[in-house]
Amino acid sequence: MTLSLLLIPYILFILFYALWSFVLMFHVFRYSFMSAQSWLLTILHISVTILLLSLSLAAISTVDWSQRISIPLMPSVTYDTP
Amino acid sequence: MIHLKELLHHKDERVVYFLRHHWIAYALPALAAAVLAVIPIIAGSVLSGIGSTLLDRWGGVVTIGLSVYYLSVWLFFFTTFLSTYLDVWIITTHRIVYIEQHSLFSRTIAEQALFRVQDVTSTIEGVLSTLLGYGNIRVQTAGTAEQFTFKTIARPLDVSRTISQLVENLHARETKTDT
Repeated sequence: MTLSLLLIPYILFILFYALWSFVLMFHVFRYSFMSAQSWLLTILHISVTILLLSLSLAAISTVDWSQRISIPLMPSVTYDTP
Repeated sequence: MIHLKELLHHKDERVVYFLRHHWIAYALPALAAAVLAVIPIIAGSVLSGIGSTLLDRWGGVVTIGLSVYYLSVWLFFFTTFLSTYLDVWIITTHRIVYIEQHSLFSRTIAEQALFRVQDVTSTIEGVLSTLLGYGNIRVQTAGTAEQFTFKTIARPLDVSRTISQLVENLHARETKTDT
């Protein structure tokens, strides 16, 4: 199993994040009373999201995704023979 | 977008107060998010301090995990913030409009004519609320909703006094027209 398999749930999470953000923005514009504040909140959310995603992508790009990972089911124990 | 003018039914009706929560209501989720944001930094410095090879061995997993973690913290904060921000209490010269966003998909909108208001109580409890000047207002009405409570609003005493004054004015106007 290579590390790149982890990217599939990550991409699914990003899609969920985008969907949830859309719902939030819908609420902001549907139920808010002030247009300027709605836009301000939207810009704030998008800016923070872009900042976090760019930091994430910068960190992700440094990882060797072809690296194989193995999860040991049992810890290896060595005994000293007398 | 909701326009305030849509809420005004009478010709001579005007908005007296448009209230949202006091800033302390936003500060608490912000503080919680800040604490959550700091936890991985502290954990990372502790792990590197004890010479753990976790970051070297599981670098990719940790990177993805941190990305998901920080995006979730921001989403949690923003959702909580919006849920608080969308709570609105509007007092007009004739009515009280109460809009409460319980969660993202749960919302209560109620309105009550001011002449139905029987009792207005404002409470300021605790050191922080006394220092920062926020509190709760409970409006007892004769309607089916019977009671409105608006939590953590600024200057509750002024607001309750204004409501009482508006109710008195309405009753005085009604008795004048009756006689």
